[in-house]
Amino acid sequence: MSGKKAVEPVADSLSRITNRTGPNHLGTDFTARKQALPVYAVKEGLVLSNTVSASNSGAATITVLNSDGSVSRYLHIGSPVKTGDALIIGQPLGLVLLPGQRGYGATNTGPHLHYEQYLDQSLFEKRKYMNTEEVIAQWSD
Amino acid sequence: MVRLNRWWAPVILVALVSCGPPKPAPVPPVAVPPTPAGKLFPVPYFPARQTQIDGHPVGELAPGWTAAGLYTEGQFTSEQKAWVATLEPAGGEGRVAPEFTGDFDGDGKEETVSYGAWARGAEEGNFVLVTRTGSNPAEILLLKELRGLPRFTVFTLKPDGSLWFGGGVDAGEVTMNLTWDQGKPVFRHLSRD
Repeated sequence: MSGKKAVEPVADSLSRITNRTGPNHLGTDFTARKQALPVYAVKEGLVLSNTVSASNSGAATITVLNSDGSVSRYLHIGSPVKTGDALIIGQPLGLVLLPGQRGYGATNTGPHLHYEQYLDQSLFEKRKYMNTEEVIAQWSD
Repeated sequence: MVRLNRWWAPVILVALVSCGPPKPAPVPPVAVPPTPAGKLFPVPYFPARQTQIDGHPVGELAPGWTAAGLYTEGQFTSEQKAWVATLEPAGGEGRVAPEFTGDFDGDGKEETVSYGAWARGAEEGNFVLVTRTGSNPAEILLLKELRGLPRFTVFTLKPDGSLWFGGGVDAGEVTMNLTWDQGKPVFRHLSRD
């Protein structure tokens, strides 16, 4: 892991990408194959919030300001992190939520991580997302 | 003379029909693709090209359509049917199927909600179709054309009668829904999160 600036959020051979970014989907979905797989911090950063809000269809949402100025959002995972927590790269964030658990979400069709990333906070506010290929390229370098 | 008419009448009829206005070349049907390696429902996925849907020529359903196909279970391979049987309802609640028929608006008549793919020349996409059953051609209540590579999806029918769909057939988020308001289907794109 040393020298890397980003890691995969679901580093498990069971997982794979099942949904990519697009006009009606701001993030990249990683299936957990019906399991509560662990999710890791993609980058070093600071937790801005960890909430369950109706605006995201009841999905648990962790928002992180990364040390390089980018913003990450992790949805549908159960995590103890709270606002102000510092994260190191690759740190376990929590577990993918299962049906019936708070924060699983009303539009969720199976346990998965929905991961979004934005180049900076202003683009996050405008919801101008990085596409799936740009996100993958970070941990492929 | 009577014998002569019996023999010549079909010939004359064929000759008259062949003198009519030129017809567009028929679109050859494409067989349901076999289970491709590693991808049960590849993208783009267009299981069958038909020139009619529910009794309507596809060119009349939407301007310029040259072919369309509904993702009906009858067109699936056994592997595809088995996969659909494993899918979870959106939010963990409801029933999953490629299409649903029922009296959604409570008017005593049945409606069918289905999903399909369209072709307009080389361009392709998906569509959502809601029809009222019982007549031929079926009465169309809603036809929503969606752009992008054709992708199979399933509907989750919730206990309140709303239908949630889009986003493919793996773990992820649904992206659209249908609700009912005063007997009419209402289509919505969901939050983009």
